[in-house]
Amino acid sequence: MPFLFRLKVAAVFAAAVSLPGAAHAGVADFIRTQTAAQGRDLVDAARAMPAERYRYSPGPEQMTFGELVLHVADGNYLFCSPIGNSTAPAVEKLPGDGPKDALVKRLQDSFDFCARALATIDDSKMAEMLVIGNVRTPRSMAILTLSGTWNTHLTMARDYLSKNGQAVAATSR
Amino acid sequence: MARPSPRRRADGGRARRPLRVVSSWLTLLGLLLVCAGARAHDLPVNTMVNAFVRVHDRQADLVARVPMDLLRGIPFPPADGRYDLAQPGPYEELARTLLADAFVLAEDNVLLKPLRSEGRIVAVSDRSFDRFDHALAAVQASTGSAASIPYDTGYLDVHFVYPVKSTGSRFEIQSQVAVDVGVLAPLTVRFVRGDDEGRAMIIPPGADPVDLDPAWYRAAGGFVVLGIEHILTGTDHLLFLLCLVVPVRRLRAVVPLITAFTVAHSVTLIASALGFAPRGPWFPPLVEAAIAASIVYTALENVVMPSMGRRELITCLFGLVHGFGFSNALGDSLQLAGQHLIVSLLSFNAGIEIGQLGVLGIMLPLFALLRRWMSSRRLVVVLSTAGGLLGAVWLVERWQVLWQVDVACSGAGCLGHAAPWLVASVALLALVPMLSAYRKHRTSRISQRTQ
Repeated sequence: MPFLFRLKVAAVFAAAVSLPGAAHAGVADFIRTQTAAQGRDLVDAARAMPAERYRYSPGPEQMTFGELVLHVADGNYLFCSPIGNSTAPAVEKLPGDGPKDALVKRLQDSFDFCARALATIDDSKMAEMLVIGNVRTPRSMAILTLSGTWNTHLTMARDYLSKNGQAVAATSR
Repeated sequence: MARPSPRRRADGGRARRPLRVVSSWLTLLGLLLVCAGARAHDLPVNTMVNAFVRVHDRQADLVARVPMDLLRGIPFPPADGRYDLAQPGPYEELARTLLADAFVLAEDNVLLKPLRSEGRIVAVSDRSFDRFDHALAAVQASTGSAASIPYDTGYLDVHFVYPVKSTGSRFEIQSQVAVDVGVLAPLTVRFVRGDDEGRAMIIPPGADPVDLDPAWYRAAGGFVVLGIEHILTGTDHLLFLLCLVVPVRRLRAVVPLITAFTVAHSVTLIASALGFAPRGPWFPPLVEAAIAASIVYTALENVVMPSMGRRELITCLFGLVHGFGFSNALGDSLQLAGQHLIVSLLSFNAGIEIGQLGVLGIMLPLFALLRRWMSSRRLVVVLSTAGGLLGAVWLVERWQVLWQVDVACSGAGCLGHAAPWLVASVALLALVPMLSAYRKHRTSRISQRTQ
């Protein structure tokens, strides 16, 4: 009984703090979960594409697979640095038609950086304005954008894989 | 013995050539007005965020409809390619949590925090956002049949309730939704006051906070500044003004010119802002090209025939064109006028006049100073040639833009909008030779009398 009583008190307290006062409850945890899940899926997709198909592009106006991988990595450094208030490491310039191993490593490193940068954020400063590129946006919206770009790019990567006869892993959604 | 002034003598013989040019130009304008039509806008409407704000009983309600496309970052659970609305709870709540920061509502410069919120996912076919009360009722209803919404389509309807100090406070709104896509995801918001749904304002994400219901003096002040800014940054208007007044040596002769320009551009500016101008996508580039043509014509007239005989009339004609240009510049800003449309329009016009007078206040003494170093005629030729060349470059550039616009008529609407202006143009065309003949007649009578 005392244990159940304590459990009830804890549940009531948790419900209370999740109401208006803690307006951003769960956002920090959400982006950390997304970083792990989407990072794994995107790196898996990058590994699944054969090296000789990294220059594949569905159309002349679209990125090659290699450029897509590099684009995601660049985006990770661009977003995770201000969101996590951490300085992005200086990385060597890498061309979109670079070797597959280097591109996959760059992608993996960028997700590792995001995981480190986002490890310490909490829900208390989600309304804080950040400058990302030349855009001012609240941290919460930057998180939504980052997660959205991962979704979009994962869909693209899987589409590229499918068009090259590669098996496509199940969506994380 | 009094003699007719050289100005008037020059009028008589060479009046026809420029008249023909003006007539041809206006005929071309008329033809384009008749043939041009509206083209559907290319804005992907599925990324537009719609919202209503109502303030009453010490609370503000913000009801917004956000396309799911803009919430792709939230992994709503799917079920057979559709939203699994049996369990959207935590994700729908997460979306509301994130959007609470994206809709920035402030009361007297103090940021408001939502007291509570609710939301639901709806299909694209849902039409409940036509009115505030319908939207509020819908968002408060249960999700219902939403289980049939295909993934990545539809909207998230949200309702935020904010505590406010007074309904009479100054409320401002700003959108931070999808700042990364910029103007493709504007916030269309209506401020609801009683039964009045208010005027829709379209606010780009990341733009400065917008006063939802500005007091008349705030609206007026803002539009005066906008008018001044527009004339001071409008190089083409300034160049036209320069070409217009450079041959004039006396202040007394400048006044009727500026008055004619002011009256004319005020007429088209106000008429256009009140919705009487053609609305096709061809119209703004046509006006821009015509403004460039006005510079070229005035500069040419200065160089070839330095006559001031019909300048008031020509200024009046070109003033009508520049008025359309001013209204294009006013464009979306007028939506920020709140309930004070006329006050804001007049204020914008006043701002243009203030800016214009300021520029003339610099230009005229400068010309007087330059005339000490060179002959008046040389000054006119040098400045008009430079101005005319620049105008010609703009004319070519703008003509190319106009040429790329689809001017095919898509219905009777384009003709309907163009017709009044066509009639007005024809009337003015008729007026030019009439006034010219009258002036000629009067000149000859004065000449006869003096002889």
